Amino acid sequence: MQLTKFSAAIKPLTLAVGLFSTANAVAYNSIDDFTGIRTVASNLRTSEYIKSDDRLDQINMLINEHRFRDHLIRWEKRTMFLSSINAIIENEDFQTIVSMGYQAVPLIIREIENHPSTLVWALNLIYKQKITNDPKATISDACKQWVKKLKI
Amino acid sequence: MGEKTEDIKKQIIQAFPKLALDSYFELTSPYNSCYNCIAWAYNLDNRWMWPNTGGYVFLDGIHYWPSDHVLDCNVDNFIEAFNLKGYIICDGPDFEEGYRKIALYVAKGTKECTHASRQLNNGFWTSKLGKSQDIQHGTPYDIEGDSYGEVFCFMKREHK
Repeated sequence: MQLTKFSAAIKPLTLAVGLFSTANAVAYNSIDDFTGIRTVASNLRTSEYIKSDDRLDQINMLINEHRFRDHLIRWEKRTMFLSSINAIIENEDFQTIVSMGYQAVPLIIREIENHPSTLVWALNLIYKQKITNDPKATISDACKQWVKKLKI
Repeated sequence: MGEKTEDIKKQIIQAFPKLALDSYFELTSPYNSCYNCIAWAYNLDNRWMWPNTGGYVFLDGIHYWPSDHVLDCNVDNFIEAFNLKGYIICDGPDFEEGYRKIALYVAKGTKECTHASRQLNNGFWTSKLGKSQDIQHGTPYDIEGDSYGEVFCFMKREHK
């Protein structure tokens, strides 16, 4: 999540640099044409770079989502009939989801919003806290409260 | 019965093969991962009840059972916890008018408790299968196998 924010913050700067070089390119276009230096081409590369940066973000998001879903399905399948909290949490796929950290959070939120479940324990492990100390709170209540707190 | 129900039953039978021969096997609830077998043995469907094994102190929606004290999953601790609710060890699963019975299961060759099932008023049994559905089964032995191991004991208490 922090990485995503960082790359989002750096984009306006990249755009500014891109626009600045575009302005220069327009001014010197005729010279470039004459001298054969293809500044415009380099500007195309800049805009391609910006586009590719966006695409990289999207691709990373898709890869994360795919990875998350893969582990989620396997975890659900392998722990479907268990009651033991330790066995459910110590499952390898659940641990991988937890190790994805903040990158997994929006995906977990989306999942528990639609299907309240013990997946909420992944948020407990990522944030190292409970959402409520109400002893009567159910898993369903906790899911609703996490969604309310973290849904963007 | 819908195609989806049949698919779910097949999936359950894969994990509990004896159910294939149980003509009383039925799904009795939708998938719901907000309660588990121990809660269901108490006839509750809104909490996840399990001993506090000490590993995870900040999990939402868990009712450490029978108290917050750290316990392992030895079946003796489960028996003691059901004792606190008035259950006593009894001989077998036969239906007795005026009593509610439960069965406790352990992993084969160990005393590690894996599951609890409860007798219904019609004499059949009901189990909440972990995060999955709850089901009706003819006898407590129909869900023995690799998943839950074997029945360790039966307990009963008066039921009005």
